[in-house]
Amino acid sequence: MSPERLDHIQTLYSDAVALSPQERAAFLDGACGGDGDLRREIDSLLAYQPRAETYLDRPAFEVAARSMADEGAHMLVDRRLGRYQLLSLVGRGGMGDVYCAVDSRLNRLVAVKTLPSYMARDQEHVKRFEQEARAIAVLNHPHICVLHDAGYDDGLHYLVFEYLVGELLSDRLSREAQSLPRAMDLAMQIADALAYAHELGIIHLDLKPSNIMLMRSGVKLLDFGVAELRYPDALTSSEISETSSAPRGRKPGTPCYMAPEQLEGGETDARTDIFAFGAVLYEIFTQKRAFPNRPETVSALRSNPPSRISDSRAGVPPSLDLLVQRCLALEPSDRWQSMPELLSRCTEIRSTLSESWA
Amino acid sequence: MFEQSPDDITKLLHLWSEGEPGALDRLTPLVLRELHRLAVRYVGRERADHTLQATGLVNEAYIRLIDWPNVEWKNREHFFAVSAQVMRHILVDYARSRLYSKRGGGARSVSLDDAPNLSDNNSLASLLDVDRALGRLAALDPRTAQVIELRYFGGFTVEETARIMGLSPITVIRSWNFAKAWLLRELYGDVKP
Repeated sequence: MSPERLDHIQTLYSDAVALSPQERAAFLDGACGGDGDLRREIDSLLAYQPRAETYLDRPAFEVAARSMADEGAHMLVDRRLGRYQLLSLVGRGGMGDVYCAVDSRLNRLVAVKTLPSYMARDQEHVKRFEQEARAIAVLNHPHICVLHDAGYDDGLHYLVFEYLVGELLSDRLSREAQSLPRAMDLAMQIADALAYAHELGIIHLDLKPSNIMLMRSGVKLLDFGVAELRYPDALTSSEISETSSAPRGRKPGTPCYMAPEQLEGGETDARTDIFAFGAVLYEIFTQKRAFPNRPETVSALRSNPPSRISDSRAGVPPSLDLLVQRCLALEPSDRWQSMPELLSRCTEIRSTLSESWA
Repeated sequence: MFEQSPDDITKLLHLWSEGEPGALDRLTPLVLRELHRLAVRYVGRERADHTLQATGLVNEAYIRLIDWPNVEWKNREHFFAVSAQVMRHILVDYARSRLYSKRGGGARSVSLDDAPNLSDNNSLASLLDVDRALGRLAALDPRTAQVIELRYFGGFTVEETARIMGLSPITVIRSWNFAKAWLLRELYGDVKP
């Protein structure tokens, strides 16, 4: 085929694509005249036009990096990080991969969470990371997963948590509904853990059902403060915005559970967790997300306010509707102001729910 | 982070464009390391959470790879075109080595022999498919093929591609859209409309 011919085909193809499918036939009838080969050529290309729209929408570099990422996660198995021998990959999440590992010194199972290696900018960052981890390691509460250790080895930051066997709340909720008293008990345990941590000045910032483990002994909150730790203040906000499409300075979290101030990269405090707590509560009672559409902006949050819990679940007392609504207020000053206050309200409501409600 | 400064990479690209074949061997580990950094970051992102999957990462990796503002060549356009070619070489080599090594010494990947899988446009096999079909397009229409090379392998935006090639953005968009349909037809054959 001559270059001129291909050029002509390209021109006609582009002109045809710009037309509506109904107009195309008439246009091509005229443009191709009696040249049946030309017409067939263009028609066969047009057949691929819908697929072509999304074809190659990721550059090759990204394709290769993603494939490397898929393989890379498994490559750490059998490796050692510090005194921890990684045995198997047990989960992948927003904060990194989680491995089941053996602590070779204490000879016990632990969960090792690797963090993205780009955090290791320099010694100063490593030091800062370890300081932050020490702050979190202070948390000692029956409903918070214990952080044992944090380290940096072979280009990777890692956190070592107690090894838990249980079911994630997200999995449980997709499996079965919780009775009202049971749901309220879960809520109270979560609230209790949050109240404790807040008192020590540590906020979770990424509370969601997939960060809550259900065990025989009750709930365990995972990844406490890790969202903050991943981006310690020493990482400038410009660095964060370079690496993500999120607004400048936004702390990472999960949009479906993020308070407006967190979405916007503003100041976060205990009330930010209270918002997320409300979203989790909503889900525990309804098995539906309060904000299902991955709100990216505050206006998206505002324009899609969640319906009342009692709309999707019979037997929910109005007091609980109000409690959740107040957690989910867009203005921090309109929410519950502290977790202990919220916890005692939960306790009151719990006492009104007899087992017969279940 | 780089042991070599971006400046060295710029020099290596320069050397390669002048026909120094050893330059590619020295560039490859640098590009792969950057690829690896990006990969680790993808691993660290929750897969379901598309909102934090930033396309900006690729750009950032690229920016770090080369000290763009300090490319002081008389012919910057040529430099960018060369870097897209280098990326293509390195990424295609990488994809080949991954796909072949998985199946043991030199075995051809199934995805190369069998009909390509239309649903997965973001696999290493599809990267090799693009490379192959693009070679055939280049024989017919080098200019249109270069649009794909710059956009897909070079990672350049429409505007950048337009500047590098001295075309209008609208021409780049038309060529890009046409070439994608052409490549798909080349790979998957004629379908009866």
